[in-house]
Amino acid sequence: MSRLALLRNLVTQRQNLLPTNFARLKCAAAMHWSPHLRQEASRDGGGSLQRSQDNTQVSTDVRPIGEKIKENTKTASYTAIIIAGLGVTCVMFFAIFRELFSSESPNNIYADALRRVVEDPRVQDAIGAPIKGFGETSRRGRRQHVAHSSYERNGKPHMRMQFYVQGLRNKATVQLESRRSDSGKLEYRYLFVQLDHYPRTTIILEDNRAFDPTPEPASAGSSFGNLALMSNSRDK
Amino acid sequence: MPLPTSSFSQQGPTCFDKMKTGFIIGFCVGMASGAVFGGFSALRYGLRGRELINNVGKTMVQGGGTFGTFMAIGTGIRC
Repeated sequence: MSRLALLRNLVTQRQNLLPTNFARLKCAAAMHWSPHLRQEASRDGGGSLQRSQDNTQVSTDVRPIGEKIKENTKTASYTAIIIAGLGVTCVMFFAIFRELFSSESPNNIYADALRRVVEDPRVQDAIGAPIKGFGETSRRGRRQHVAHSSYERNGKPHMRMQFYVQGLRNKATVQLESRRSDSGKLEYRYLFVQLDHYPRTTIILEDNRAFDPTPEPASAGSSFGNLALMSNSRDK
Repeated sequence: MPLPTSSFSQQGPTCFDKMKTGFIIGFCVGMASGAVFGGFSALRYGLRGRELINNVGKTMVQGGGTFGTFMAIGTGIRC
């Protein structure tokens, strides 16, 4: 668009552009005393300058149509790549910040539950004071991954999680289910610590299953039975 | 009642799946870094408009390919 305006401007002002350019050219030639330039200026005047300017203005527009299409396609594809890359970057940053700043993420739930378990005096009595927590043991001996799964109960998102704690004397398994309460805060549906060795007692840190939003008659019993079955089947 | 009992004993993804994920992650990271570095170097070089877009796009794809390849190799070694 700007190039077109420039061209039109050039065409309309050709008459008064011509003498000034010619004069400037002659002046420059006289100043530098370049024989070639003076010869050029004297031979065909300002027309050469005018024509060359016209050529540079026009030459970008009179390429073959195939080349133009090729160039435009290239630019469009690179533009698409850039836009896609920026979108991917935005999604990445969004995911990272959501993971960092929301209390819904499994890692945050794990950290909070582990803090509560470690600070509980009954658990400290049962398994010994310096308590550390870890997730499932992977193939390479690292235990960072905490087993969790999210599901919906009565239309509200819940998360069930299981991890292990180890104290000075004993090991235990922590089972929890968490949900977001009506006020928007994270709350536990239950939070149990089951000892892995002899007494096999279950320490109940929190049990809110009686206050389920719309309690079903078989809900508590069946989930308890399932839990017991799970802890039995996963003997080490 | 949907109880996710099977999810604790799940089988992880295969090695090739992990390598694909690693390639995609590396591609994203390489694209982001290519956009930043390639964009600034092209601006410093004095490119504007169409040339800038072409140059930045090329740098992004190159960086993404490089990062993705090495990330896939790393994931393949690790799994």
